[in-house]
Amino acid sequence: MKSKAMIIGVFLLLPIIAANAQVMFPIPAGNRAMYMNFGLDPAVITTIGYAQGFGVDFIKRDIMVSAELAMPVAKMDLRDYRLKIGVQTSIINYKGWDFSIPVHLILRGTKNWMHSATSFGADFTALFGYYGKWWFVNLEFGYDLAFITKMKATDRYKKYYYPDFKDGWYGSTSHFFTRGIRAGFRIRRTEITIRAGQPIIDWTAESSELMPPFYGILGVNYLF
Amino acid sequence: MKLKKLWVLSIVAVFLTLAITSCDVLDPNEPGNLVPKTVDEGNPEHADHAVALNGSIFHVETYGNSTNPTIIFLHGGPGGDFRGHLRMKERYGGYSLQDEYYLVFWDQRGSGLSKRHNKDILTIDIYNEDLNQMIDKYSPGEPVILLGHSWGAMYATSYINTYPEKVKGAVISEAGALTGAIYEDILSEVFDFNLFAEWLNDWAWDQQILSPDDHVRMDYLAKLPAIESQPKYHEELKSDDPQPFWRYGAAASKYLQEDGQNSEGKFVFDFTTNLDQFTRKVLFMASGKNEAIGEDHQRMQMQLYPNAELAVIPDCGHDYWWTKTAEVVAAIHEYLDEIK
Repeated sequence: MKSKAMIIGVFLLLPIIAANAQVMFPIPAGNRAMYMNFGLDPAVITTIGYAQGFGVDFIKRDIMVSAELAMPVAKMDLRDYRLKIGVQTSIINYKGWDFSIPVHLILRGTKNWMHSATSFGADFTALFGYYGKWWFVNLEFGYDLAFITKMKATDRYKKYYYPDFKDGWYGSTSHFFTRGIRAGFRIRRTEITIRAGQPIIDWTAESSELMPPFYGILGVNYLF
Repeated sequence: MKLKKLWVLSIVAVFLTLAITSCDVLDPNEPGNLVPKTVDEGNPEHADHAVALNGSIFHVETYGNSTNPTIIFLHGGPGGDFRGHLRMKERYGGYSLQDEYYLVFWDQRGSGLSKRHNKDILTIDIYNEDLNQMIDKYSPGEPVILLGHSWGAMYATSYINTYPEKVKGAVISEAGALTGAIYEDILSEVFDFNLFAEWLNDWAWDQQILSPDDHVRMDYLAKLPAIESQPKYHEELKSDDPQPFWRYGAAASKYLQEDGQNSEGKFVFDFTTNLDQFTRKVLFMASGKNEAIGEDHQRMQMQLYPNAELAVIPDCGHDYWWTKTAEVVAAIHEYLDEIK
């Protein structure tokens, strides 16, 4: 029941919370961008995405809506994927200094020798930084969680290792924090960006760390 | 208009989520869901094999006549279990180790179906004391024979180094490294750390769906790399007869290794400081195909014992206690006859 209430809350809040789905300058209303990323997050991945700016009268701000698909590139398998959708706007902006709280809804999937899984989740990120005319830099503090995940063990895992594995929907299968930096610069309609940092499962846990213990992404955005 | 569409999509998403969550939602941390229950959690098939020792509860199975000399098996890992060693109790070519010996299989502290523990009591000193009490229980007043494979062979050496008088023979089967310095030398051979390796990316990708911040999830996830992360070991883990396991003890694996490291993460353990006191014959074993810790590596390590011989089992990899059990038992039988 606790996880169910959390899920409902997130979906209801989503449209009114500022969000961002990618590393880039804010896109003004009416403009669009395609982007591509490559790096370690948490596997070696490539990402393609689309973003578009909208004007929203009742909050008197522009928002940016985006969608992106990421896939691991090592022996690419269509069953390993991460689909994110998000929106972005600025909460506080003063002379180039900016604070926003990005949110994504996330659909993730995987298939490996032990199981297949489809997972619904979200991430929330606090971004604080400076946007100049041609460059920007942000600090990020994020939280990523998988609300609910459908897991099914492979026949091999059940046959040789654990026949009583319980297939089904699992609640709260994953959560971790991120801390890192985002930066980029613009040349005409092209932006080059980086995002790097460290994922941490739980600062209070004695036994928990993610592998790899860092993430790093190089991105290219094209505005049109 | 487009913002209205976003609202509609969000509402649809809410209803979809409600539909999903109206199903029974399982707890990934619940014992028995992802990995078997341990004996202290009430594993129904192994409830009779729970043994309390040294402040923990171990999964132990014994075979043979308890009045015979005792053989204690030490499985690999750290973090593995003895399920993959159970073929060693069977009969091959008319002979079974049970004919002459009392066989004790046990899952080490925090591993397999034995009780889980946190970092503070997962150390090599406590492991040595676990084995000491296991020997006192199953072979009171009589030295035992240790049969250790992989990490188990390292563990056997650590114990012999500490309590040489309580061991009358040992099989050191494809030990990883008997000192931290040796381990540092071979580390790059042991694991395939290619950034584009499928096992590494599968493992990393899975952690955003199933994060290892609970014992059960850690244990389950820790087995994901096992199939492909050590290709130079040439194990037959993708075959139709892979070496099985019950549960990988992720905390035991992590903290036993950390106990052998210094503050910079360098392996500095040394299980050989007192080995010159152990003059009884030791049988080293190696698999013919292992490129990382096979014959050459074992020939080098056997020099650390005063009295050792080597048996190589051809045409097999590191899992040869499972895939070539008859040949392994024959070699051990011959060795045991020598030290009678």
